[in-house]
Amino acid sequence: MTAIGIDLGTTNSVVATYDPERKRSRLLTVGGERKVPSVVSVHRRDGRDELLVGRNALRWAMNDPENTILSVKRLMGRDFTDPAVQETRRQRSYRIVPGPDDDPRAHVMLLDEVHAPAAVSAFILEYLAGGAAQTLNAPVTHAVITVPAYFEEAQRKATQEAGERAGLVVKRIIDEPTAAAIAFGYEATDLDRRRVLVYDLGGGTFDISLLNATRDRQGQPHFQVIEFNGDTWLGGDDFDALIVERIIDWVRTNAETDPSGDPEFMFRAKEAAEEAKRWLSEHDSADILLKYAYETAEGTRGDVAMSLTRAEFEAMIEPRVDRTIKLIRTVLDEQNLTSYDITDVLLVGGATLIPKVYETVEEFFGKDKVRRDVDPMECVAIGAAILANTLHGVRCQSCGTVNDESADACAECEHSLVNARSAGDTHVHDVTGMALGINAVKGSHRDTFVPIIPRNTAYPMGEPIRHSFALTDGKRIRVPVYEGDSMRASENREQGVIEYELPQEIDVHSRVDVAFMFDRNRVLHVTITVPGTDFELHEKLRFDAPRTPPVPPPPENRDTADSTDLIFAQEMTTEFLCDYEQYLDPPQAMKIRADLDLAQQTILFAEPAERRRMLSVLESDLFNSGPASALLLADHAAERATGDEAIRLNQTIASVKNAHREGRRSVVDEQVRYLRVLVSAIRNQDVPEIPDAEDYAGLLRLLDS
Amino acid sequence: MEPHLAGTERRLLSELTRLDLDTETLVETLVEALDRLDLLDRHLDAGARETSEVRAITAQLSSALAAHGAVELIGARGERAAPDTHHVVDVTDAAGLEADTVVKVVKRGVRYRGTQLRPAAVVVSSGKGAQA
Repeated sequence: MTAIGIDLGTTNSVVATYDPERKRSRLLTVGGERKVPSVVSVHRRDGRDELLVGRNALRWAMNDPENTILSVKRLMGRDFTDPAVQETRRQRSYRIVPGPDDDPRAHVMLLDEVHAPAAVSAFILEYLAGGAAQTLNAPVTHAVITVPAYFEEAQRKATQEAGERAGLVVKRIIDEPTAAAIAFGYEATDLDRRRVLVYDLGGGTFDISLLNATRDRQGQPHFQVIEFNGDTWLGGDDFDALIVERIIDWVRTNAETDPSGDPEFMFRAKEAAEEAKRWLSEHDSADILLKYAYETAEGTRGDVAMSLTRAEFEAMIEPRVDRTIKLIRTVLDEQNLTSYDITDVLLVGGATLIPKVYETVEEFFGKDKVRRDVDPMECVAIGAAILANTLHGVRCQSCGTVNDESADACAECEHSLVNARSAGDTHVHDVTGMALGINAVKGSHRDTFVPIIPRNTAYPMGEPIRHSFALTDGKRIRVPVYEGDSMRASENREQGVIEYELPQEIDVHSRVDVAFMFDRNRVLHVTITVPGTDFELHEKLRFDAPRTPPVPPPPENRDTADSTDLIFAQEMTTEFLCDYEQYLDPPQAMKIRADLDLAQQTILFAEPAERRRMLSVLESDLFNSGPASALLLADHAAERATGDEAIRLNQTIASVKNAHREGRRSVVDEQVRYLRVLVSAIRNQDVPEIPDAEDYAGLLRLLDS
Repeated sequence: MEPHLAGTERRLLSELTRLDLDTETLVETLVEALDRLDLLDRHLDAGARETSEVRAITAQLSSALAAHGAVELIGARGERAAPDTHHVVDVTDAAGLEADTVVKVVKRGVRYRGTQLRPAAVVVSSGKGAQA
């Protein structure tokens, strides 16, 4: 087994390896480069299509921009409608489309074929693994891949899928700041009780992560990402672009012509800008000389001959550097911390080599806290490599056998490895950045977010976290899973859905328990059970299912309507209790009485939203109370029914009542089912006076609502 | 191997590596000078006195580099561009030229002892005028 660490970046990717015996890490060159552009393109020649990855793809980009996929990481696991995807569409030339078969996630077009971003990332990972294998002269089989700390469930899953598509056993998906901290931590001598801020300014993105680092009694370091923020469109490439813009301005001013539409000029200007940026890291001034660079108004070729001082360059980039500091303040404020509470600042990403950048960070935190002894271009890959070569399998919690990372169950005792820990674990604990939960119905609110795994939960989790719900739609259940911090589901990000039809033998009034658990890779395992039965469903999240439709706005004049509706529902429910109490279980009857008392208070004192919630509760009492509700609906339907329908309906009503009197539960259930079919047929014709309970399309309902 | 011979071999290898790196730098610098001469040649006024001299120096420098067995210059008008050796700066419609044919060399590429020091930066034909 050969394991590598991969920093799968938005702009560039880096691969490293680690020798645990010698405690030495090293970067692996791929295609002769230490930093591989995360780009995929196609070379069409003589009727053949050759896939290009890395530097070659970038070189060919101008030739076929529509088939050159840049920064696909921005699309990983995101919906087509996501603002980040729409921004990428504006910035890039290749086509970004919704997925096939109602898959809401963004896909890309490559040679007129639709590809998931995970498939494009797989091309990059395959290229990286192949190049690493060539450098190591051994096949690469396993990898640890890094992702930004803000990556959500669907994005992490897409990254893992990409690794597997590339033929790799993914030992761990790890947060980039955690990987950087591992690289740093192994070299540090005093890491106890540190609070580390990772400042990651890459080519195209800026990420800040706040980590707590401590050592346990055995001296092992623990890291927890406790806060993160950033800007997905701010990076070192912006600084190059500012210099290019300055060169263009120079030409506009001195030659009164605009050279920005000339690709050859832009190529040379960009090269000169990169060179000037490097030069200015060590010198006070850079000369930018481009002979015959642009066409003058007279038709001759003009030269660019300008200089750029470090002070000018720093003034140009200052607003962007200041923005990074502003984002740091936000992160610190979120945690009620100040710069004094931070013990270490790790600089990650090539742009942190610019003096203005690291000096600004040093000024904010104090020079002694900012660590520049870790190579900012390499540390994420090195941290991943350390982990890749420290972890050596998964230890079965039942028998202690160490299994390969690809195994789902123990080879020795077949015990599930879902919550097993890695063998040789470095005790690195990532925590969830946002709560993960489901969209459920609370009262009449169908847009409620019910967190199940709270924010800042460490994983792998020792045991699942469970939450109880009721059904709203007979046997059908639909559990949309969201990630976020808002109490409204629609304000969080939908990750996927679980849909299932419960077996016939399950009572529609049963409690349903939903349990979530994250394994060591933060892969979500969902278990749905019905207490008191053998029913247990282990279901995987469907990431490609259509998203939950938006909640319709309430109709106008709803407030007045709510009061009237609630009074009507209160009267109906009182009658219902009077006429059908004998068919209710005693706890059901007690609940309905309590609901009626509450409804009276609500009519008198409550806000419109609370009246709507109460209306929904009473409607549920009326229409979801087992045989009693079935008889209510049947009696109303019987008043309208004629001929054979009326005879069948009345016979079935009598059967239900007889069976209930005789205590024959199974017959009651069977006849109630038949009754519902008959009522349904008649209602489809016309039974207008019974208001419909709201259709929640299988969403679960909070038990206490 | 005798210890003193192993030491000598190590020193020799180190010296050869240093020489290789020095040569790489020299080659890159010379190719950059060639680029500037190419640029000058392209943009000198028609009939300028210096034209023939510039061309002579360019040819002399190119020949000297080409004569070095380990150096290979990349990028010439008319050749087919390839992603591993050419960086496409622009694409243009050119009559009678197949797609990816080099129309203009913006910067020469160079390979030394099989290792590409830099690709050629080129403008290529789109192939749209190939039938013309």
